[in-house]
Amino acid sequence: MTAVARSRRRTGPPSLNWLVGLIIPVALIAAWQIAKSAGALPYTNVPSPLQIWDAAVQLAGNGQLGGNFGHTIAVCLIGWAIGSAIGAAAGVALGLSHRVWSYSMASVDVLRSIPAISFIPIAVIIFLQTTTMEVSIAAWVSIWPVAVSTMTGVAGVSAEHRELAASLRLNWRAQVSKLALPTALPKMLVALRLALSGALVLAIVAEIVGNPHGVGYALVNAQQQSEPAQMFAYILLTGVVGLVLNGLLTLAYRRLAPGFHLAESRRTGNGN
Amino acid sequence: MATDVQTSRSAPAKRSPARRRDPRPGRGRGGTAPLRGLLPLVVLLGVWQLIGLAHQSVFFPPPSQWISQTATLASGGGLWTAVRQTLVTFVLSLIIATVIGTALGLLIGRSPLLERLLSPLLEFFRFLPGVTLVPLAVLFVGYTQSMELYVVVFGAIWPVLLQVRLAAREIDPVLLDVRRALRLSRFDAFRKIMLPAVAPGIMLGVVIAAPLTLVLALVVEVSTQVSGIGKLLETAQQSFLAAEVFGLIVIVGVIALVINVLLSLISARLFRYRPSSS
Repeated sequence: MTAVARSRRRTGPPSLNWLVGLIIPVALIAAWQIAKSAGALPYTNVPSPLQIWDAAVQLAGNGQLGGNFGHTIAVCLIGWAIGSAIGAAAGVALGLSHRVWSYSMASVDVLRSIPAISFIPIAVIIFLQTTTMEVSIAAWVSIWPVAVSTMTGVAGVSAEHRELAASLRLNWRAQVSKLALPTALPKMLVALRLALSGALVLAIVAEIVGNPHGVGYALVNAQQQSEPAQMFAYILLTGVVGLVLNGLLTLAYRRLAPGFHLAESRRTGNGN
Repeated sequence: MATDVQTSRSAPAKRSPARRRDPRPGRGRGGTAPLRGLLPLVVLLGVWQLIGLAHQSVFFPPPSQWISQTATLASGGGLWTAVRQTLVTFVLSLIIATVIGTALGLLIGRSPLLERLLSPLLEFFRFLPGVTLVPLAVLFVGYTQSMELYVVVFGAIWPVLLQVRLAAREIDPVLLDVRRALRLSRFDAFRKIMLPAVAPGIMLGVVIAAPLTLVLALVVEVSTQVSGIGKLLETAQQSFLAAEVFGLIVIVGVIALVINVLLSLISARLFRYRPSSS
């Protein structure tokens, strides 16, 4: 998207909007700090924003912050990549062949409606408390949205294009790469974003429950040592990581598929 | 992850009704898939049963063992108590989150000032995974049922809030003129104009929030001392009772399916008159 098109879509300079949006967060943080200093908070062990900042700086200094977030983000990205690849392949098969669809879609529907979190215990039994367990769960959760969106996208190839492919005698590989995937791309991009936030959430849950590494474990650890300031630091930064990952993906989309608007996906909440 | 898929499918549908129509009727992928599609799953379970009986794997016990172990759990009564506890949390949280999310969504969606003030904050909370709050809530509130409610409600509010905010922003200006023309009181305007106008948004929000609510409840139970199906899953895992874990996964899956079906039935009933909503 060009700069002209973007500025036409929004009214007023974007920087001003951001400044207005900062008023409330800044006011909240100030009020929190003041309330803490005045002793007006309901729980005495709620840390002040300054204490959270100090904890974050300390954790960043001794390398724990970087290490834990590095682990979680790596797991999330690897799982997401594996799951999305499987999902895209399955989606192409389901979308191209009506027979494959009718003989397996119901199974896909059953599997994808089971909350992924309930597979963590079985993953722990099979893979024990390892990073493989975490990656497998992050991958599992990424498969389904990508599979279903790829399928609907691929199935949306128009009759004219199908005829064109037939008269050009395209083989199936050319049909997938020249017809099916480009048609499905917008839907796939939306699903990839959803899958990414899902993979992040499931990686963290897997760390809370099973694998003693990463942000999830750091949170549990800080809880057991009664370090609320550290917990707040991790939680707030997890939100930032979610935002940044999403923002990077949006940027990548603008580069790769400039004509595609992501407005539709704004309707979605974060994953589970 | 059913949430996500439904979202990505129904979101564009809401925007332009024309897109909902499948270009190739009769070959559509949008409707319910035929039951013969369960075949791979049935074959998988059958093969699993045969191999499992022959080899007695610790990791992959045959489905017949899932049933027998889960039946043992059920006969002690523990299973039904757990299912009830999780469902009570689920229903309560979803109702509370819907009420709060709708109220906030309407306020923010109808006020450009609030919108501009709050949108970065909302954007941040949208991407903050609710599960990270579980250890924090444990620290402050302890292992109680109300802690579970706090965490689950907090996580479930956002989808409802965001959908209602969008719906409120897109209320037809003509409807607002009607309000002025009829000189409706604030309450009447809310009841007769605002609420029906954003009702599809609320429903879509609830449809997205419902699986998330279930997941959050399970996460709280798996990772803390609060009882429910999640707790049973965790106990079974720690005793390496793979058959029981598989049995419980099936039960969780059935619950999730029933919730999905119920919600789509409710949604279809409520919005019979309005073809553009899902």
